[in-house]
Amino acid sequence: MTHCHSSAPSVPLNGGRIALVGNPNVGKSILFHRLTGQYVTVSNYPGTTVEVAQGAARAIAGAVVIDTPGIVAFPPRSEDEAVTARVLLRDPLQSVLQVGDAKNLRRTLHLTVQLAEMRVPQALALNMMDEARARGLNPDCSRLAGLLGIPVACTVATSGAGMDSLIDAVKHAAISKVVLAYPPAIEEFLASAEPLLPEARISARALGLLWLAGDQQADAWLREKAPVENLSQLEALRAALTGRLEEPAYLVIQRVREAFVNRLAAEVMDVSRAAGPTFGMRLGHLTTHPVWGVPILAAILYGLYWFIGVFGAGTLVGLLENGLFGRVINPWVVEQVQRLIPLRFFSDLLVGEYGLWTMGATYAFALLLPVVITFFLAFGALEDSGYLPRMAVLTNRLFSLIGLNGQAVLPMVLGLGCVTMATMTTRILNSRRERLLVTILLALAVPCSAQLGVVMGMLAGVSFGAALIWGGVILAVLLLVGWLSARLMPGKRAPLVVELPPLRLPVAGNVLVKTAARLEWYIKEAVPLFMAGTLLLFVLDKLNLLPGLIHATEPVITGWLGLPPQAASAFLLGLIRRDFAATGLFHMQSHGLLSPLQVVVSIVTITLFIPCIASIFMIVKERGLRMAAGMVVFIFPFALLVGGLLMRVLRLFGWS
Amino acid sequence: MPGEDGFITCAVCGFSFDPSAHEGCRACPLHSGCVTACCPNCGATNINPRRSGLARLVERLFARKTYETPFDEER
Repeated sequence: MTHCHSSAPSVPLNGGRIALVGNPNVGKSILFHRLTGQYVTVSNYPGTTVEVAQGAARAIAGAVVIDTPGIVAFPPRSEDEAVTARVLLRDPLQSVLQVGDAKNLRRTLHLTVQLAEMRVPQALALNMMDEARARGLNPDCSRLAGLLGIPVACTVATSGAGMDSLIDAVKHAAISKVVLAYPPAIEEFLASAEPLLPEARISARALGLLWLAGDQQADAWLREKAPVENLSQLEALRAALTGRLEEPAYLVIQRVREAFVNRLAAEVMDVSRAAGPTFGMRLGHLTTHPVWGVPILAAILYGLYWFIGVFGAGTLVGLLENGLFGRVINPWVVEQVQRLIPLRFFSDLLVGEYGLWTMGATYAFALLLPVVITFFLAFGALEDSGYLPRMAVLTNRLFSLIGLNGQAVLPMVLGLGCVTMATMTTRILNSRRERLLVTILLALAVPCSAQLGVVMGMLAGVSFGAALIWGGVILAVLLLVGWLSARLMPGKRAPLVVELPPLRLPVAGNVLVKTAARLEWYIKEAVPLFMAGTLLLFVLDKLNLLPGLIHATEPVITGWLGLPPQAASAFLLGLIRRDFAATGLFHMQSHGLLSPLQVVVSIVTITLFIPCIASIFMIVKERGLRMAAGMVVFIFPFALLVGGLLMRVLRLFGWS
Repeated sequence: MPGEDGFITCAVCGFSFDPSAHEGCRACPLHSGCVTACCPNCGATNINPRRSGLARLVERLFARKTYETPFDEER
């Protein structure tokens, strides 16, 4: 790897703070750990909940490196990005080390130019050089260093290549010689505004540009530091400029920077040996295409339906439930228990109709385990292939119809794995409105892995048409409730910004390890709850309360939903875990107790049913008790309402 | 899957990160039994295979098989 000095004089390093700045996902954190070693401290940045890591630089005596949150560009758009802006504005820095992605040179340079305008000593680490070269991209670091007037080191953070050059570059960090010329109106504004700005850690020109572009951090800093009369004059100048410009100032500024960055990138990037896009790149592009992405998603969903529903819930469950458990294990266990425990009450507790073994363990291991294993394998393969973020990009268009923030799609996709963890992930959303909206949709209409697997298995036992009806109803409910909630809680929609990893063939080892980890977590979380649910049914049965409960729910279960009365006990289990209820219904279906119409109605109802106990606890923790109670009060009757209406509509179309 | 360097890849954004690098987790009273790790890039909560005995077992089995392949011997 190479390191290229600029011609500008470097700033001597005498043990100051070095801020590590860069776009997200460029290997910044790996470089941070390589620069600092193991001993780093992580604490919330003052006044925020954003964690910032800092540690002593191993090869630069006395210097401390601060790993700032990834930022796309200034002005920042999230609380995390705002911390990076605050570090630059408020912290005494010796220099800034920008980490950039060599394959996305223009995006890297866009931030470089903004940092250059700040007139802070800087160095650039052009990282991921191996990936850039593999794509036939050869940025000329030496030429780039010359043109920018700062040291540039070419690195591969994952392998550690170029680290010596990088340390040398940091030691010789220099103030860039880049000065961009903006249209006369903006230049006149800057000339008038600069004398009014208080002295800052970044150049007055950069501060003026940030403020003009609407940077909230710069605005807050100015309101704190600038005299009131200067602030009034600045606002007057800005208002006058806005009147002169035909489009917003930030757009004009961005265009000038873009033009400069395009010229610079063209000068330093050698693409003569660039290979054409690989098959993976072309396919990756198609997966997010608004037209071609949809059939690809449909094909993937069909593959999931076949693998989890037909193979997992059909073939494997058949082998385990009917074969291994039905013919071998359970008859033997029942015989042994009844022989060893003569007391009927205790033997029933283990092997009776609601026995911990015959119901709890059999549901968990014979019915659900094959389904969740196939689901986790499929989910792991999708995850390892890099398809999930692409699915988020594709579905983002759909969610934009209901005014949902693009970032909100990420927890929804994650919810297919586990709704509880996805509810926790809603923390990444910027506004309270978004967090609330996504939590409601997750609780209502996003089925988790185990439930989705059972649902696919039940639908595979009816027809693919039934699967389409189920999918259509759930999607319609998701969009309708999302749309209504968004109308009730109006707010600004922000675009989805997500890094797309390269699309690749899943590695079997990765998928197996992830499946094993998820399986262990699932067994630890779900099986005890299955046992608790079974115990509840057993107690209710022994106290002769269960028949009364089934009878009491008959108007809803039989009358409104058109299901057999036994389905009441499955719905009762749904109060503990939706997948437990789905397994109960699955069991009924496999014993011929549900007609195709009843299968579709019952699984639509149970999909929309209240989420599992763990999710409810998470909602209480994240959104508060009142909100959690409100959601349960809404979801419970709503699920029954949709199920009953669907039954009537399907009957009109001849379903029975 | 954690690589040899202990990094795991986020399910949502594909970001590779070291789950042990987040000192904040160590202060959490539930840390010892926690199997999750938050992606520092997008914030998504991921299962941390390093925390699962079953995953470590599978990883060991798989690693042994990998080293025995002729491809690796040739290398």
